Amino acid sequence: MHLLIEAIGFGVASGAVLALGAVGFTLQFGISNVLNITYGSLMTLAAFLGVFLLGLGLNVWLVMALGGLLIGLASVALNRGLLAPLMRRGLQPFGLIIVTVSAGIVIQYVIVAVAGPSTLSYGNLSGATLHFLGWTLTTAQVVILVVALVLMAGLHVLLTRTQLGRAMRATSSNRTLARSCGIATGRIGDIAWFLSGTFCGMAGIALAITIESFDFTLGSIFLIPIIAAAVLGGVGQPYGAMVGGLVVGIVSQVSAAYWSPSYENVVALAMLIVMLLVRPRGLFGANSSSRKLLA
Amino acid sequence: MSSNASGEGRDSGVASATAVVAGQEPRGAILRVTDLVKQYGGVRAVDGVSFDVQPGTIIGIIGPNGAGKSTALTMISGFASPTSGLIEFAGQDVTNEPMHMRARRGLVRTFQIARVFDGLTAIENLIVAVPNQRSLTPLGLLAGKRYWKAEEEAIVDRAHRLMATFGMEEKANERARNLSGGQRRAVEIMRTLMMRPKLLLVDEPMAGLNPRLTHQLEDIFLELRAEGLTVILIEHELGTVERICSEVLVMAWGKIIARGEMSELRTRREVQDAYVIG
Amino acid sequence: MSGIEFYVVVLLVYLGTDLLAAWGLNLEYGISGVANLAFIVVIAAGAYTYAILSLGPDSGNGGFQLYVIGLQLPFAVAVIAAAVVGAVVGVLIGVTGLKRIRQDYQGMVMLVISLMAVTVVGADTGFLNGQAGLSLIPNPFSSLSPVVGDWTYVAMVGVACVIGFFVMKRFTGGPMGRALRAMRDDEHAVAALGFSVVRLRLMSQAVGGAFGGVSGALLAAFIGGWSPGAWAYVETLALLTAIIVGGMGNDMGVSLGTFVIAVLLLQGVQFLPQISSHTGLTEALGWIILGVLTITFLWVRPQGIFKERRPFYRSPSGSDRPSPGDSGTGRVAAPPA
Repeated sequence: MHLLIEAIGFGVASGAVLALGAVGFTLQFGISNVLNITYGSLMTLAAFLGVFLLGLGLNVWLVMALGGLLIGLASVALNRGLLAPLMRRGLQPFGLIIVTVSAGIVIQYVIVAVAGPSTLSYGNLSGATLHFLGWTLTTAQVVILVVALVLMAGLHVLLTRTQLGRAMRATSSNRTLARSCGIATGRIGDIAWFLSGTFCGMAGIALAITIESFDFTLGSIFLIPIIAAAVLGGVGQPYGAMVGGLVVGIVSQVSAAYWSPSYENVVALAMLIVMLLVRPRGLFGANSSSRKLLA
Repeated sequence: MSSNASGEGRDSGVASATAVVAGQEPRGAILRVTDLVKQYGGVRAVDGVSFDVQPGTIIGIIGPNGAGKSTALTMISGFASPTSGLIEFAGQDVTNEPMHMRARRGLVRTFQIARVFDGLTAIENLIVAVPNQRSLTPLGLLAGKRYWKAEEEAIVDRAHRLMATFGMEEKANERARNLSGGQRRAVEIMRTLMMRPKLLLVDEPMAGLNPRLTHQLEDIFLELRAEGLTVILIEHELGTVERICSEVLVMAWGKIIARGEMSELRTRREVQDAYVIG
Repeated sequence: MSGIEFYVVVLLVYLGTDLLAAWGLNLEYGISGVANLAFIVVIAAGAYTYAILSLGPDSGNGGFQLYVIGLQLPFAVAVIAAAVVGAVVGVLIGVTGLKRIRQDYQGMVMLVISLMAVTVVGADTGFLNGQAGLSLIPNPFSSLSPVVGDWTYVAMVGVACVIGFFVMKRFTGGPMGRALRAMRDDEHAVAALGFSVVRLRLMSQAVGGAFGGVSGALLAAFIGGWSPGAWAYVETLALLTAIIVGGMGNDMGVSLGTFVIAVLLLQGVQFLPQISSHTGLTEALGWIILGVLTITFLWVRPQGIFKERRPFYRSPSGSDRPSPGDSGTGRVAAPPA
């Protein structure tokens, strides 16, 4: 029993990071109707930028914020420079996913070319170990958990109580209709990509903080549980992604505890495939987003 | 109702190209629909529709937008499954049969926006439609061209003649994606004819066509009916409906609210109301 | 054998096996429109099948690799088995794609399957020796001298390609090619013609899978080893780039694309001098160029260098040419505008 509670604790901690990543991923789908596989490599980029920024002597939490901002900008550039023009030219969804996979590969191997293929580490940033509720977590994990909660609460407030949030939800739901209502969908898109990119970058750095070491495959490894979380919650549904992240995190950690640590990601993969085959719109997928995914 | 007046030279046209073989027609209704219902969430798009269709007739379905006409046709053709109800084609229960099996029985549909195979040439669109080709069986694949060459040549020949009848022979080897809207519609109709259908479900065939083309297509339908083809037609162009349909069903709010000849229906109060309110 | 000569042998074997793989993937994606981003899995399945059937029992190698089966079957049998397994795995993967979801979503399912396969195989050390993979895979010509053996292998791969070419033509050309392309262009319309989309898709993935399986087997027998590192998900992308760049649905285009991408690019970069501070730089460069090429072609010329060609059917009366002033006997209608 103690093992289970402890595993759940780890699950919550990792789930927070996954939720952060999943929310960003799902926002991008919601606003632009594209499954952005480049997301993984952008997380890797954030992690590597983090190494550089830490090397400048900056505080790790500042680094996380900066990394988020930089990847936010990169994401806007990705959309404006590559994805939006291609969609305007009529590239079909499958072509787009090939493009995002390719862009991901390019970014990933540029990282290799610049920083080499060997593993890096942020060093031991864990801080003191904390015990509560039968959970054993490091200070770093707790801070990340709190940061994730704050950010998601902030996103909730943004989406529900501000003009901008309303515009984002409208664009997500029906772009043409939103435009005919006078919403500047281009600019809203930029903001949405920036925000989601920030989540992406922070998730990447949070991952780097919490794991011992990483290399250029960081993003591609963790993209899968993130996609699993996003799909579980219903692609395009930010609240679903938050719940999905938590579920995937907990289930993975519990399986790792009872079964085998090396199968941690396999469980997430299995959940993703089952979801995709049985209920593609996820647990909370509303009809508008699910209709976009059916052929 | 007058039919096509161009007279001589028609023998090699549509008729022989489609040649619905007499004697294969079933006794009684070719299509019987009973209590057909389609429910989406809380909305009943089709709410208990029942009718039957005799072979060799052209039936029109009219009604305001959202009446459930396309949904009904979609279920009859097998594109969507009904929430409840029975669909019988030539005496067989096809309610849950997949679309491709119904097509093999002779229940063929066209789509509201003409769907042609863009990557193929116009004539290839026709050739690919012919059912039961030897070349597509495992033996045919194994044995190679010598085995199916004669059959394919006959099909190509038939396709050429059909295209000539529609006046499109110079576009035969044109990629379908380069065709105009009217030409795509023609290719789609020709494709269904290559299948030698028994029942043709057509959803707004005249949409986007100019009056001259509309008239030509009407003539073709009339000729086909004379050869034994049955057609169910959804159409907003009431002139067409009046000209070629022997009987008309009026749908509104998912139900059939009237049935009869167009000229008579025009005057009925509930039909006028449906168009105004629906 | 000189270094250059051996390098040519290697390139030729890679070209041959990559051609077989590309033809298989082209059949699935270029012709049939199946978004198979997991194609590398059938290649791996073929490679592993060949390995575990042609190796002896795992205890016999000093016990340092653990795997199942190990029947020491002759080369031809093992390769045929690899083709069969490739077809079966192809169909299994295909079943996951049958659900009517959007193509990019389907692609994502396949991508996930690809990643999952690598993870599962890599994690389980008893099945296929996990991360370390299998080695000492027997080469059928190992009893011959190295020069003769290697060139014989090249010849054999050549023969496999010739056979593969004719088999492929049966599916990409003629009536079957037409039906598959129709399915690619519009799945629902082709079902409305009476074709079973399920049957067509699974057939193309079975045949494509068989090609992939043979490709993997021939590669594994030549290299002598096969491990998860050899079949990461990016490998499918290399083949896909070859198809996109060369020309989807065009047999010659795909072949040329394979030569340029899989051989010249990915192997050619190994020729560049290694900059000592960074290992793996040249390989990274190859992948970067690959990714940029894919994006560029999808942007500028998605149909590839060689466009897909369709047959020309001459009409019996020669009336496929427009004739001015034709009075049009036998026509019911004038041409639609």
